[in-house]
Formats: sequence, C-alpha cells, structure tokens
Amino acid sequence: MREVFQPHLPFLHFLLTILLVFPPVQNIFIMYRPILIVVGLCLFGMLPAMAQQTISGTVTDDADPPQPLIGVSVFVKGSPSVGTITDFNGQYSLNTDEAATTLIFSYIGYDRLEVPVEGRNSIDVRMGESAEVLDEVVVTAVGIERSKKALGYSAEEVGGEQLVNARESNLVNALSSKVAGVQVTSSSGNPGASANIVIRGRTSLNENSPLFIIDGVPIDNSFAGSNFTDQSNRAIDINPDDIETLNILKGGAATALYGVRAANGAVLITTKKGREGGGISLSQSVTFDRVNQLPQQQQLFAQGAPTGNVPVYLGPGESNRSWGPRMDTLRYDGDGTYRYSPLGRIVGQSDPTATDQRVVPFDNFDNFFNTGVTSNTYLSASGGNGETNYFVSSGYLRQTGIVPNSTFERFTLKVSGDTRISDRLKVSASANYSNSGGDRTNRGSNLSGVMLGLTRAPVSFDLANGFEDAEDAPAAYSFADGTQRTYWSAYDNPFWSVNRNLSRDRVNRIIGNAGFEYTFTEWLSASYRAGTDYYFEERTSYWDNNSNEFGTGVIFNDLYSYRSLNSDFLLTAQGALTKDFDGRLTLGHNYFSERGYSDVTEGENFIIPDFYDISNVSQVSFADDNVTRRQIFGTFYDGQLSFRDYLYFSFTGRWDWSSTLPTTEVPFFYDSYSLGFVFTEPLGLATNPVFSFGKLRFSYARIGKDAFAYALDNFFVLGSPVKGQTAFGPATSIGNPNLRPEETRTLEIGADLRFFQNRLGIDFTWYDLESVDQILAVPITFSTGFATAITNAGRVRNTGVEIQLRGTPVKGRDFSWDVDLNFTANENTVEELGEGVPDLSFGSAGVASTNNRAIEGEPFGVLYGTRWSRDENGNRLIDAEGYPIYDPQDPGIVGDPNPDWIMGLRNSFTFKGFYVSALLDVRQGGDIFNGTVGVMQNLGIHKSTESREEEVVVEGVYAEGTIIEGEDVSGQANTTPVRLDSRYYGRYPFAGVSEASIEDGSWVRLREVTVSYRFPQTIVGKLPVRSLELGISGRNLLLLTDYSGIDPETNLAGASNSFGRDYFNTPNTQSLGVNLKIGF
Amino acid sequence: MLLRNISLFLLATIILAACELEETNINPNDPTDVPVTVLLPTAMEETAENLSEEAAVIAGIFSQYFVGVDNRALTVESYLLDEAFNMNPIWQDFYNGPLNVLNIIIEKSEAAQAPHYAGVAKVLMALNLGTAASLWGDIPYTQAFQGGGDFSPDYDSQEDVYRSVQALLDEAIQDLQSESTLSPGDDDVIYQGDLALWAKAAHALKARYYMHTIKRDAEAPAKALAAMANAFQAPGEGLVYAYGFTEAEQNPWFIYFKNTPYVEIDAYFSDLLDELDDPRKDGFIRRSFGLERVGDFYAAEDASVPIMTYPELKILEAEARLRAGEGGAEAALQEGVRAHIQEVTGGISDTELDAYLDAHATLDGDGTANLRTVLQQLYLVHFTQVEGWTDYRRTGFPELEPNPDGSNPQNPGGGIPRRFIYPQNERLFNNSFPAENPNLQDRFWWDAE
Repeated sequence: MREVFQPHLPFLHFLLTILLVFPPVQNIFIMYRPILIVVGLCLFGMLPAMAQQTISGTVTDDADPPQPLIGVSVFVKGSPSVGTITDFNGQYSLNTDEAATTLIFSYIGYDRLEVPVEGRNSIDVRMGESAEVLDEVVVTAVGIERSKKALGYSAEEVGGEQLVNARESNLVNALSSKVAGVQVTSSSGNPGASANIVIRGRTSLNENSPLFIIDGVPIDNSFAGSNFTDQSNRAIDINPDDIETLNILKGGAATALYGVRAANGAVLITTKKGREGGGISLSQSVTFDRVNQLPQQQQLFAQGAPTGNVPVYLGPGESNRSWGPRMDTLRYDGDGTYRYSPLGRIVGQSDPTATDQRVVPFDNFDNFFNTGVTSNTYLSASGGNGETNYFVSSGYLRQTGIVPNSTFERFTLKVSGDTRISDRLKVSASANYSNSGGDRTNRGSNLSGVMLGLTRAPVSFDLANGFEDAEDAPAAYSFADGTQRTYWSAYDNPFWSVNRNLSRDRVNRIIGNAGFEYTFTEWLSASYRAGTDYYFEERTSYWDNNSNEFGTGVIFNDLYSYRSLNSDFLLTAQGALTKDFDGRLTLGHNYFSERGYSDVTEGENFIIPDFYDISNVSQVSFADDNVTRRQIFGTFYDGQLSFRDYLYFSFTGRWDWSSTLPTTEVPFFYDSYSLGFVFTEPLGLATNPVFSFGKLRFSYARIGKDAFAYALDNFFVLGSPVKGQTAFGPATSIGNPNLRPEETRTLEIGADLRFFQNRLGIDFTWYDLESVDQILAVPITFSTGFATAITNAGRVRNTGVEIQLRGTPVKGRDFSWDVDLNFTANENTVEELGEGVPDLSFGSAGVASTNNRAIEGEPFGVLYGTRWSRDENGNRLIDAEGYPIYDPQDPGIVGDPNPDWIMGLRNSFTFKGFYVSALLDVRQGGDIFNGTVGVMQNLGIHKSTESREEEVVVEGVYAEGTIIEGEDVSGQANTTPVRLDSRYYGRYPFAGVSEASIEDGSWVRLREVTVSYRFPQTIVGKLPVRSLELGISGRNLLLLTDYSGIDPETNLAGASNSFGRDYFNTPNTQSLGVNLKIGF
Repeated sequence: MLLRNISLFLLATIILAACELEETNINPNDPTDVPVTVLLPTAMEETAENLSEEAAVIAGIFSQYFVGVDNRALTVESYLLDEAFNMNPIWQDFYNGPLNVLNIIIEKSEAAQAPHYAGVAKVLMALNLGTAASLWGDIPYTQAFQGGGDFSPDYDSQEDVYRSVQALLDEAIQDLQSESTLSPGDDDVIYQGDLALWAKAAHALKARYYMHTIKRDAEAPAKALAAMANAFQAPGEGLVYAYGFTEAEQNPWFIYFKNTPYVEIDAYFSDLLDELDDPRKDGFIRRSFGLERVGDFYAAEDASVPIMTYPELKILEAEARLRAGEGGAEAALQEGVRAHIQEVTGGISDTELDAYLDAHATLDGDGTANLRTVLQQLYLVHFTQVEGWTDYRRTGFPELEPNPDGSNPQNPGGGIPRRFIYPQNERLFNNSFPAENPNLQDRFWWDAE
C-alpha cells in the first residue's frame, strides 16, 4: 500500500498548478475567501472580487409530458469555463458574475440553445431533438469524417467512459468483450502484462495486431517480449482516461486507405478535445487485486521418490519430486541447527531422532501471493470559446501486483488545442507524453520463474521458512553464505526470485501531431496532418549469481527506440451533382517512415553481491544493436456517390511504394467498393413507430501488404567473439529478391435494423476474409545450410458472423435499463501453405513439446504435440502392464485454441443518480495446453496425485501383440489395473502426453461490474464543485470454467501468434475498487 | 494553379521515393559478405561445441558414461529418441553450423587462391562429416549447403561420405603445403596458424576414420597405421579446443551441468573406475550433494574439449597393431594411457603409473583379452565424446549390458542403439529423404553384424 501511494512529483506539480490557476477552481477560493485569504495573499495577491448571481432551472425535452435531460452542458456565453451540467432531475444551478447575459445549453442529439438571461434567476428550457438523430458522424480511415448512415461497412464505436469502467491499466484489456469481432487475451495478471488483440480472427501467419491510430497518427503497439518476464505491449502508454471515443475498423473496406499497415484492422482513437464549458475534472481510484484461480496442490505426500516401490522421503536438494511418503508418517527431528528448517529435519515417525512434531502441509501459495493495489489519479482541464479550445490532462497510475515486488507505473501528460484562424483556416495540434514502466518478476518456462518454483514446491517444504513477510526476509530464501535456500537446486525459491531476479523497464514516449484544415470554396477543402510517435525504452534485467535460470549472474541492458513519422495530405471536393446525386472525392498522399533500434548488452557474474549494474560484472559477454527501417509512400483516392440520402456508393484506391519490396513490385495497387442502402427511406418507413430504420451494407476490398525489412538478401551475422577474434556466421534465413506484396480480400455483408424508435437495434455482419501470398519465412531442411526461406506462400481464410444487439427495455423518468450484446463467431482455416511446406510452428517446441502450428486445412495455430496411440476405432492402446501407450514419433493435432464463439453482454441501469452496469463475458471453446498441471502431475504435486495409491483400469484395448500370461490379448478390453503413481507419470513426457494436458478453455465471467452514484444538485450545489460521482468497480468477480489451472485467459508467449499455452504462467486477478470523480 | 502545384509536388515525391526506398532497405546491421578470417573462428568454436553437446549426451547415455535422470535425457535413457526434440537441434547444429560455415570457407578460399584456409577448413569439414556419418549413416553432403539452389539435397551413402572424408583430408594435406595468398594466424583459434600441426591432425583423423570402418575393410588397420606415421608425435600436438579465454567462453559441459543437468554419471562407468582404482577418477567425476557429474578435467569452466588427441591416437595405434598383427601394440597402448593419465591427473608418480600400466595396460592375454584391454582404455580416453559409443558399435567393447527397460517399437529387441534416427526437419522438408525413418537397431554400412 505504502508503495502505491508514493507521491509522484511531476503529477503533483501539474495537479497543484491546475487547481491554482483555473477560473472554476478560483471560485472555490472566492467562496472560502475568509479561510483562504492568507494563503491567497501569499500565493496570488488579492483575487478580484465580483458581484455574484445564481441562475438555476430545469432542462427538459420537448416531449409530452416533458422528460428531464440529464447531463446537459449549461454555460455562460463568452466565458465557457463558467458552466455546469444538469443532474438526474434535469436541474442545474450556476454561479456567475453579473456580466453574464446569455446562457448556452448544449446536449448531444439536441439542438443547441442560446437563452438571454435578462436578469432572471430561474431559467427553465425545453430542448428539441436534432432532426438527424441517426446521422452520427464517425471518423473513418485517414480521419475522413462520415455520416454513419452512409457507411457500407461495419464500424463500431466505444465511448471513453466504457474504457475506464473497470479501471484496466492496459487500453487493450479495456476493449475486452465490448466489441463484436474483437478478441482480447491478456497474458497474465502481472502489472503491465501485455494483452493481445485480434480483429476478425488471425489472418496473417506473421503478425496479427491491428494498427493503432491516435488522432490520425499511427502509433506503435509492438511487443518487445521476453522469455523471462511479462512485458507490456506499447498501447499501454496510452492513458484510457484521455480517450473520447474509440472506433474499431474491422473490415478491408474500412481500412483500405491505411493500406499495408492496417491489413489486420485498425483501432482509431480520438482523444479528448477542448470544448466550451469543459471545466476541470479530477478522478481518483483505488483498486485491489487478488489471484482469481490457481491449480491445486496435493496435501498428503512429502517430498521424495520411490526406491523400489517404497516411497522414500528426500529432503531439500535431493529431489524435485513429491512422490515421497505420506506426511502423517513423518516427524521433525527438532534439530535447530538444520539450515533448511527451524523445525529440523524430516524423519520417519519411528526414527530414533523423531520428535512429536508432525509434518503438516505448508500453504506456499497463500504465503506467496499478495493483494495488489492500484492507484490511478487523473486530472483534466478543458475549455474554449468555440473558436479556440484547449485541453490539458495528466494522469498517474501506480500498481503493485499479486506477485511480491512486481509493479507498474505510468505518468501521462497531454495537451491539445485548436483554433480557427480565419473562416477558411483551422489549425490544431496535440501532444501526449508518457513515462511508463515497471519491475517485472520472472514467469513461465524459466528456472527462475516464480510459478515454476512455487507450484512445484513440495508441501512439506516451507518456502517462506516461517516468515510472515518472506519477500522482505532474506533468511527466508537465502543462507548466510549468499546461496539460495530452496528445495531443489535447479529451481529458484520464488521469494528469492522476486528479490534477486528482476526486469526493470522505463519508457519515455511522445506522440504528437499538428495539422490544418483549409476551405478554398464551399466545395473544395484541403487538410494536412503530420504526426510522430517516438519512444525510448531502457530495460535492465538481472539474475543474481546464485539464481538458476542462467547458472551464473547475468544482466541484460536493453535499449529500444522507435520513431515513426506520418504525414497525410488530403484534398476534398464535394457537392451536389444533380438534384438527386451528391458526390464527394478525396485525393490524398501519405508518407510514412519508421525506424526501430535495439541495443542489447549482456554481462555475466556480478563482482559485488546484490548490486545489479552492467559495470559490476566480471565480463561483458555480448553486445549487439539492430536497426530496422521502413518507408512507405502512398497515393490514394476516396470517393462517395449518394442518391437521395439513402443509397451510398463508396470506392477507394491506393498505390503504395514500400521500401521493403523489390523495386519491380512497387507501386502496388489495391482498392475497395462499398454500398450502403437505407431501404426504409424509399419505403417511407422513416416515421414508422415499429420499424423506422433499416440499412443493408455490402463491401468488397483488397488490401496489399509489404514485406518485413531486409527480406530480399542473405546475410552474415556477428556472434560472440571467439578467443578475442571477431566471429561471423551465415544467417539461417534465405532472402528472396522476388517477393510480391501480400493481399487480403474481404467480402462483407451486413444489415443495421432499428425498431421502436431506436429502442431496439440489431446489427448483423457476415464477412469472408482471405489472405493470400503471405510473406513467410518457411522452414526448410537444415541440410540446405539454412533453416528458413522467405517466400510468398500461404492462404488463410476467416469467415465469421458478428451480431450486435442494443436495446432499451425500460426508459422512464427515473429508471432506465439498457442491454448491449455483442456476439462473434469466427471460423479460421489455413487453406494453403505453399509447396513443400506441410506446417509452420509458432512458439518454442521446447515447452514440453507442444506448440502452435499452421497446418493446411486446419484452423490457424492448432496445438500440436504428442498423442495417445489409438486403434482405428479410436480406442487407446494399452500395454501388457496396463499402461496406455504413446508413440513419441507420432505427434499430431491435439487441440484448437481458437474459440468457437465469444460474447459480451452488458446490462446497465440508471436510477436517479445511480448507474449500475454489469458486463458478462462468455467464451465457448478454445483449447489450452495445460503444461503446468502436466508437470505438477509428473512431479507428484498436483491434487490429482493424491489418489496415487488406488488402482485404476485405464480405458482402452490391448495393443497388437500384447501377451498376458501366455495368451495373446490383442484388441481385447484392458483389465490390467495400474496405479497413477510416479511409475505411471514417469513413462510419459515431463508435461504429460500433450493430448492428456489439453483442456477446454471456455469460460463465463463477470468481466466488469460498475456501480456509481452521481450526487444531485441539491448536494453538489452546496459544495464548491460542479459535479461529484462516487463509484465502485469490480473486475473478474466471477469466473466459471472447467479449466483446472489458473484463469484460462492467459498466454505464455504474450501478445504474439503463439497462443493457448499455459506453462507456469502467472495467474490472473480479480479486482475491486472505488473511484471518486469531481468536476469543477 | 493549386492543383497543378499539388500534382507537381506528388510527382516529385514519387520520383524521389524510388531512389530513397532502395536505400532504406539496405540492412545496416548485417553484412551480405564477410572475409574467411572472421568465419574460421566461428567454425572452430561451433565444432568444439557440437562435439560436447546433445549429440555427446545421447551417445554418452548409450555408451553408459551417463545415465539420463531428468527431462529429455530420461526418455533417451530408455532408448527412445524424439525426432524433433532430440534430433532436430543436433542436425541443425551440424548443418546450420560448422558444416555450412566450413563449406563457405572452402569455396571462398579456393576462389581467392588461399589453400591454407581451404586446408584447415577441409580438416574440420572431414571431422564434422565423419562424426555426422557415424551417427546417422547416409547423410546429405555433395548436394547440401546450396540454400535455395537445392531445397531437397540428395543423401550420400555412408560409404561415400567416408570416402569423401579421406579425400578431404588428403586434399587438406596437399593444400596446407601449397602456396597461399592468405594464411591463418590468430584467427586459427586452435593451432594459431601452425600448418604443420594441422597436417598432423589431418593424418590422425585419417587414422580414426579408417578405424571406424574395420568391420567392412580388412585393410583399415593397415591404412590407419600408415596415416599414424605422420600424425601427432607428442601429447601437446593433439587437436583440442581450449575454453576460458574470457569468462564468457565457458566449456559446453560446464554450461550443460549449470543449466540443464539432465544426466549424471552412470554406475557402470563409476564402478569401472573404482574397479580399476583408476587415478583419473577425480578428473572424470565430480561429486556434489551425493550426485556424480562430469569432473573438472572435462567440465570445469575453462576445461578444454578433446577433439582428436594424442592418447586416442596412440591407443587406436595399439588396436590397429593388434588387428594388423603387428608388434608394438603394448608400447603404443602404454604411451597413450600414460599420456592421458598425466594429462587428466596433472601428474602422478612413476611408481603409481607403472603399477597401473602393469595392472591394466599390459597385453599378455589372448587376442580377445588384449583387444578388451586396449578398448577398455580407449573407452576411458573417449569419456564425454561421441567416439566412445562409436568404439562400442564397431568393436563390441566394452561389453555393455543394455538397459532392461530399453525395448520399444523404436528400439526392437532392446539392445544398445546402433544409430541415431533422422530429424523431423529432414523427414518433413527434404523430398530426397530416403523413406521411413530407421529404427535404432537398423545397422548402417560400416556397422556390419
């Protein structure tokens, strides 16, 4: 706790400054002048005293009877920072000076009103709905604003409020189960852990992250992963609090103008902008996290292994297994000098040194995990006069994790402004700065990984050595000579690991843009926007001299930098062509360049113990840097032809010159066509009370994609020096000077239907997406001298359905109920991989020989590993001793990690000032390889091994040629009993036969719950604030799953193409938090 | 006007773009070509590493130097090899490692008229090829290393590979004596440019690979003896790779036991040393926490990796003399054992040494007993090396008892495996892959029944 609430000085500085200088807050000083006068005198001198007046009233709609409108902005014309919003009764109360002559009332979907004050203290107004309610404007590719009605493809918006409901620190996690067609998987519950986002299934055999765009600037969401720790995907640098809306562009027609970079879809983020009557908003939340699900350990047997058939206790350093004797047969010998335990050695109950002290299981899990705490503070100030608007904000988030010593923090600063210089010219600019990073603990398939050391620990061994806060007690995890106190010399004690093996990263990032819009004439305008994304990451990862992952002390100093520059010029002509036809045509040019740099230095063997710096190593053993560059020039057009406001035809085309392709292949062209038909208009249904709006959408698009950098040539790579000599070796990949661009084709058909005056809406989309000519490094035989060859190969198809349902079953004066459902079912098939390429592997096969593969005719990323041997009827084959047979030479597909369907269902209720919302997340299907439990079984520590003394008959038939007592029993049902003991598990791979370790990863979870209360004007009016909101939010409060390990929302490999594998992953969390939001 | 300016601007950028784009795609990190001087150290280091990594672990389990106790060594202990897990990395370490690098060095140095480089590279090429062929039998060689030129290299028969090995060594001996535009110096991290020693190493390897084929070639012992005449003359001349030049360059066994200690010393080997009261035991085996692991002589952080040593040569000479019916076998044996004991122990007294030689390196029995004595010492000298398993397969000594749990479909009959299987990578991606993967009891050319 203490750690979480450390003051962050830059943030405090910002906070104080904003509070002191902004006019609405000065009002506080005015009200509390008697108290603050001394402070005021010291800080500012005298504040101007003004004559005050209070105007109050009620805002309603123009229906009969009138309904109050909640959240209407009310402010003084000419001084937009003097304003308020209406409460749930539609009431407002505004303190102004006497100079106020006109009030402005503004509300989305309603006509803006300007009302002269004329000396009144009470002004009630009725606002009329805007004529074009449906005509929501959405931001589409390259920032072109379009009427949603005209779109010929599906586009879905998520409001900023929805992103911060559950106080997720990672923007990508905040999108989870909110949008149809979008699948989010967080890699673990570690602070700052990466989250993977896939739109409409995995299409590319290389890279499936969509393009992230902030205010028109493409930003990097790469994942510089690590084999050892959970790192962040870079979208985490964006503060979700800064987001106004987020628009997901899913299909090819939507993203075609972005070209090569958005072949996997795009996430368009529009950040908050300054506006009239904006004011100041301050929010603070505190969230508590705890582990939501863990695998179970057995509680009966001690560390040890059988000798012959007799389980024998083996102590620390003697065995990593828990196949020892029953603990109730064991006693401590009471020898206080025994260095592994103050209770003494563990001996048999009949041993002469045995005391009465029984051996009982230790709860190492409970001792280890902490309650994580997150504090998130956000302050923004916004205002303007309609001509010039500004927005500034700052946020500070600090999180401590469930794993001791794991942290993440983020400080953000944002400023944006726009101004209308003349009737023709509008200029805007914005800049986001963030500073993020954390202390990451070891995880996964790593001998220093905390879950590895923790879950494998015998329950007869106390990892904490009796200490209450073992992470802070070196005597819990180390001996006086500096070596480790652990139960098996190859695995780190997790308490040791969280103290001695950490990875620290710090990212400084700036995303900024500036641009203008110029109107030549009524029908011709131009706009230009240039933006940059720059970050620099310092990452230091170290393992102490006595840690196990490397055997020696090791430190890596990694530096990563990334810079992109994007510049778009657009020229737009629009107007009426004839009485019935309107047209619009945009011509544009785009320049994009990016440069990534990494520099890795490795040092070994720390000289001074417990001091982890690259200068403190006896040997700098490796240093290498790497530069990746890419440039794209694009020229494009985007046109739209509309007929009588109900038939819209759009077309785009783009030529790209990319640096990564052979010069003979550029430019390459791709295009898109879409049709939106609002069929209810010509049918005259627009005012129909039951069925008022119906639109059909059709679109077809082709998108090109370039190669990765330097894919055309063969190279030599520098290795570590050999006895002081420079040493190069040939790279194992063969370049290809004849590469062609990849292409993705999308066909999309959809319908948007709304009933009962928009009380019920159904949006249905079917899509078929095929990606061909993928540029791949395909495996080839090593005897060519190489391991992979870069080539155009592979065709992957995704076909799916997305359904959104929005309804308002109850809408009353005080109470309303909204339902929002999204459903996605995607079917993915790897149709072709190219000649002589049977399959491609993703993720290390080393992890218990189970990995993801792309295999022709199968879904992308199927889990591939060892299987039980079976006869032609699918019966498992059993040997003469009763053991099921597996053939290590006959691996195959054992599972499909792609879910059958996913669904998000949100119910939200408003009652007076209360808002209650619950988001249910359902995932059906999606297999997971549970290597954690497989290994725990092998080691005799998993709960299921408690039945090790019972005999079972494994279902199956005897294998061909099985002879029992002289009789050939081939093909007969097995009747030979076996015990599921160390002999059984010892026959199979370390993490079990892959097939046996595959589990269904389906779940139903209560992903988010929010309860908030907005204080009414009657209370707020007495306070020096404009609004006050108090909320409670929960995340993952309920999880129903058959998965026997940790929360099945997990991913060993982080945000990558390797998914559905759990191998000592850090568990996920459930959280509960409170938040307070104050508006001034 | 404006539109014209814009189109001019667009046109200009497009033209500029074409030039700049090509520049952008030039890789600043990795060169497309390098001189042989920076490839040679890589080839040497990788050779030493390959001879003391997974291949030697598996061979060591089969020849009972080691017992597999954990993870992927456990299944090997019951004579099961996984074609992906066990075999892919070893095959890749040869073909994406020294074999390919040496092939590049040979091509480059021949083109540059630098036969001294070609000679050194051919010695190492022969060594790597001979080792690979003794593990797998038929392997791709003449059609290999062509990258995109041949995605499915044909297999050379094992007999042809052994022929190529001898031819390469003969060429190497020639090359090392030719005029050369360029000669290795410090980049030769084994012999520091001493070409005479490379020639001796070439002769020693000729002898070794002749001795591999004794079951097929009755003349092999005589051919080996002829080659030995020009091979190493003193212990210091052997082909060994020294580690510990810097702290980062750690002996591969040291790294193995630090990171993945999946084997321990087999009781057979440990008991044998006890039985012989062998003075080398402390160098061979290190005991800690009740575990027996490879000793400091082989696995200290800076221990050298033996590749083709003087003791091996002398004991092979003893074997060849016995088989060829020539005298001097005992002297050669004792010279080899003496050299090895002195090397491993750091020096023991002559009395002790003589007592040991009298007891265990004296050839006073019948033919089989003498062979047993010689090959027992060869077995000891080949500790940690792939060659120990090869010795067993070509001679039947020492008389090992197979693991009783070693019978399985991949190893029918449960005998000690005779060969490696091919890696999955070859089976899947090489259209010239022979047919089915052999089993561990299938015998290749030189391993006649």
